[in-house]
Amino acid sequence: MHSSISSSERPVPARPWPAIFVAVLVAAAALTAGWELYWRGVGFVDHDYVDTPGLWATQRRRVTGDRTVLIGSSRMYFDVNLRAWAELTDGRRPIQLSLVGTSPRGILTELANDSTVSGLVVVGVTPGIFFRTRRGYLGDFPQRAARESPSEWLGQRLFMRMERLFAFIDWDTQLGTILERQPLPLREGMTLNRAVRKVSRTRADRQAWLEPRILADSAYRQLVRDIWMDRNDGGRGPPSPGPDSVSATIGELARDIARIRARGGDVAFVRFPSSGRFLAAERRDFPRERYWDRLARELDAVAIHYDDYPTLSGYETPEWSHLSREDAVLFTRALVPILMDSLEAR
Amino acid sequence: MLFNSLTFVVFFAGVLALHALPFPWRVKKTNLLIASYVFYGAWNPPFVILVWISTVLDWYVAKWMYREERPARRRGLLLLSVAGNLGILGYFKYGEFLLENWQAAMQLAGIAYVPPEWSIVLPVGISFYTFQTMAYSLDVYLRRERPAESFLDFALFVTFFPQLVAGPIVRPADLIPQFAAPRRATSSQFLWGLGLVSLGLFQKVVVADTLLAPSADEVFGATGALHALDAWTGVLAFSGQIFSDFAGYSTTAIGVSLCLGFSLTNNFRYPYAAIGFSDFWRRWHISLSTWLRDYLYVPLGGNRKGRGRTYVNLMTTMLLGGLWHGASWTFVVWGGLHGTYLAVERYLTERFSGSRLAGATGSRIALALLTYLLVLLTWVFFRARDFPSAWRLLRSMFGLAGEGRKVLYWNGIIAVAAVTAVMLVAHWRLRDTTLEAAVERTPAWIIAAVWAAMVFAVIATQGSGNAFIYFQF
Repeated sequence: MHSSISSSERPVPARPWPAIFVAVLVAAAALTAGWELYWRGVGFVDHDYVDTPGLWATQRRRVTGDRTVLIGSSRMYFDVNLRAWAELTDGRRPIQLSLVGTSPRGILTELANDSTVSGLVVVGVTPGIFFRTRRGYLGDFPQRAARESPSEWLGQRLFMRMERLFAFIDWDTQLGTILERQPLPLREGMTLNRAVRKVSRTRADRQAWLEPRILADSAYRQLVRDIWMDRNDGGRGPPSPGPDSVSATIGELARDIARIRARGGDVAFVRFPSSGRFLAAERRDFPRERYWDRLARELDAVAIHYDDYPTLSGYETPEWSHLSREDAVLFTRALVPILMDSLEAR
Repeated sequence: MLFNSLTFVVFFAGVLALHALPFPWRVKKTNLLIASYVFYGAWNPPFVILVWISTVLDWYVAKWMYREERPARRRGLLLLSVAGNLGILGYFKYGEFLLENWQAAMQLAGIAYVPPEWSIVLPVGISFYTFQTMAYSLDVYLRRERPAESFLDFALFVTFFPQLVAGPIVRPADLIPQFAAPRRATSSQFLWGLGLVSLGLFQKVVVADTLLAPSADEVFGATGALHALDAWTGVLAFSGQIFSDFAGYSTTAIGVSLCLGFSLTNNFRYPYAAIGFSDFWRRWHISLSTWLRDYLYVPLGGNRKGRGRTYVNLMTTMLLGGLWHGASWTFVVWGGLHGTYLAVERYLTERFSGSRLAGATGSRIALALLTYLLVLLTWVFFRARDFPSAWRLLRSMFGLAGEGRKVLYWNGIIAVAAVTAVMLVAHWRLRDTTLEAAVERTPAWIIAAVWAAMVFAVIATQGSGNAFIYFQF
C-alpha cells in the first residue's frame, strides 16, 4: 500500500496517566464500596438474582423428560417452595418457569410443542393475567431465551457471579430506576403510574419468595398494596374477557394438554390465595363461576382452588397477593399431597 | 458481543493478555483474527461465513484486478466484487423491503401478488463491513492503492473486532499498513485507550440508555397526538440518544484499538455544534460521509459537471446514504431531507457568500442552533416506525395536532433537558478543538475525578445489555 500511517497515529494527551489511573481505580472502588454498603443497609443482599431471560433460560434448558415444571405468574413463583415439593415427591425439585406479571399460557403451548417434555406441568392461575393474555409483562422471555446467543449465555453466567458478590445488583437499585422514582410534582392532568417495587428475592435455581421487607416494614407493605391497586382497582386494567374469549382459552388449553398427555405427561391447574382489596377486585372482575369454575369444569384436568381445601385456606397474604416465605413452605406441603392424590384419582 | 457486556470484559482481557505475550507478530495477528471471528460469531456463529465470503471474494478480485490491464476486464472484476458485496447486503437487508414494494407496485397495477414470507435475520453490522471491503476493491480499481500483500493482514482488516459491527468504516490505507509491523501500545496509549473506553461506555450506558432512551421510546412509541412539550422532549431525547449511542460505540472502538496499539480515525467531531449541513456531515458519522463522498458523490461527477448535476449528485448520494441506514422509506426521506438541506445551503452560500454577519459569534451560535433544529426534524423520520407516526409527531411538535396527550413525567423531561443543554454546550466549546487537546489542558485531578465518576455511573447503572442502535444498520 502506498499510504503512510504516520499521519493517522492517534495523539495521546500528555498527562500523568499512571497516577491518574491509580486514582481512578481507588476512587471508583471506594464509590462502589460505598454504594454496596448503602444498599446492604437498605436490606438488599447478595445471592439474590435478577430475573432475566438468561436466568429463565438456565431453567428452561433443564426441562426434559418427566421433570415436573411449574408455570404461572408471581403467585406460582413466590408461593411454592421447591425443596418442600421435592421432599414430598420423588426427591427432585420441580423446575420453576413462572414469570411475574406474565401469563403461563404461551409457555404451556411452547412446552406442549416440545417433544422432549413428558412430565407434569403445574399451571398457576392468576385470573387477571391468565384469562386476559397469552403473554404479559415478561412475555418475551421465552423467545429471548430461545434466541440466546453464545455471548448472552456467557454473559448470564458472569452476571450471576457478580450477583453472588454484590447486593446492589437489582432492578430497584439501577441508576435509571432511582432517577425515575424521584418524587417530583405531577404534570397537570397526569396520574402517577408507579412501577412495581421489589417484591421478591430469587435464588439461582429461580426459587423465589416474598421480599422480607414487606413483612417487616408496614409503610413498604402499604406501598406495594397501593401499587397492586393502581393496576387492579377501579377498572384501570383492560376489560375482563367475555365468555367467547374464555371458551377460546379453554379450547387452546385443551389442545396443549392433549399434546402433553400424548407423551405421557399431564397438566394441572392451581389457584393460589389472595386477600384484601386485591381479592375483592379479582372477585369483581373475574367471578369464580365465570372463569375458574368453567376452566375446572370444561377441562378434563386437575384444578385445585385454594378456597376448596381447608388446608390451603386461611393463609395470610401480607400485601394481599402472595404468601410469606415461611407460609409458602407450609402451603407447598399442603398442596403437593392434594395435587398428587387428585392426579392419582383422575 | 456487546462492548457493554461482561462477556466483552472477559473477552477483551483475554485478547490483551494474548497480545502482550511474546509471540511472533504473525501469531499475534492470527490471535486477533481468531478473536475477531469469535467476537462476531458470539452473536450468531453461522454469520461468520458471510464475513469469510466477503474476505475471500475481495482478496482474489483485487489481486486479479490489479494485474489486469484490459479496462473491460477490470470493470467486470469490480462489478463482481460490488455485486457480491451488495448481493449479500441486498439479500439480508433489503430483500423484504424489495418484496413489499414489489407487492405494492403489483397492487397498483391491479395484480394481487402475495410474496412468500420473509424471515431472514439481519446479520449485525453487515452494512459496515461490506462497505469496508468494497472500499478496498474500489481503491484498487481506481488505482488509488495496491492490493494488500498478506492475506492475514487483509482478513484482519475486514474483521478487526473493535470496528467490525458499527464502524468507524476504516479505509484500507488507514488500517492495513498498521498490521505490517509489530505494534504494542505504550503505557500512555493503553491508559488513554481505557479512558476512551470508559467515556464511550458512559455515553452508551448512562446517557443514551438510561437518561434519554426511556423518553424517546415513550414518545416515539405513542399512538396518538402528543402535548407539544412531550413531542419536543422525545425528539430532543432521540437526538441525544443516537449521538451518545453511536459516538459512544465509536469512542469505545477507538479506545479498544488503542489499547492494542492500533489507531482508528475519529467518527464524530461534536456534530451538534455544526454551522450548516456541510459542516454537520464533516462532523457526523465521518467515516460514512467520506465513504459516500469518495465512492459515490465524486464518481458520479461531484461538482465538476455543472450546477444542476451537482445538485442531482448531492441528492442521489444522500438518498442512498439514507437507504444505507435501513430498508425503509422513512430512512430515504431522512436522507432526502439532508440532501435538500445541503442543496439549499449550497445555493444560499453561492448567493450570499462574504456576508459580514457570517463571522460574528452571535450569528454563528444562531446558525448552529438553526442547524440543530433542522437536524432534529430529520430525526423524526429516522426514528418513527412509519410515516403516519412521523407526521403525527411533527404536528404535535408544532401544536397542530390539537389537545395532545402528556406521556412524560418531569423526571424524564428534566433529564432530557439537562443532557441536551450539557451536550450542546460541550459540542460548542469543543467544536474547534479535539478531546485530546481539551484533556491536555485539564488538571490531572479533574480528569481522575471525572473518569472515576463515569466508571462508577456505568457500574451503578448496571446495564441492561441494550444493543447499540447502529448494529441494526
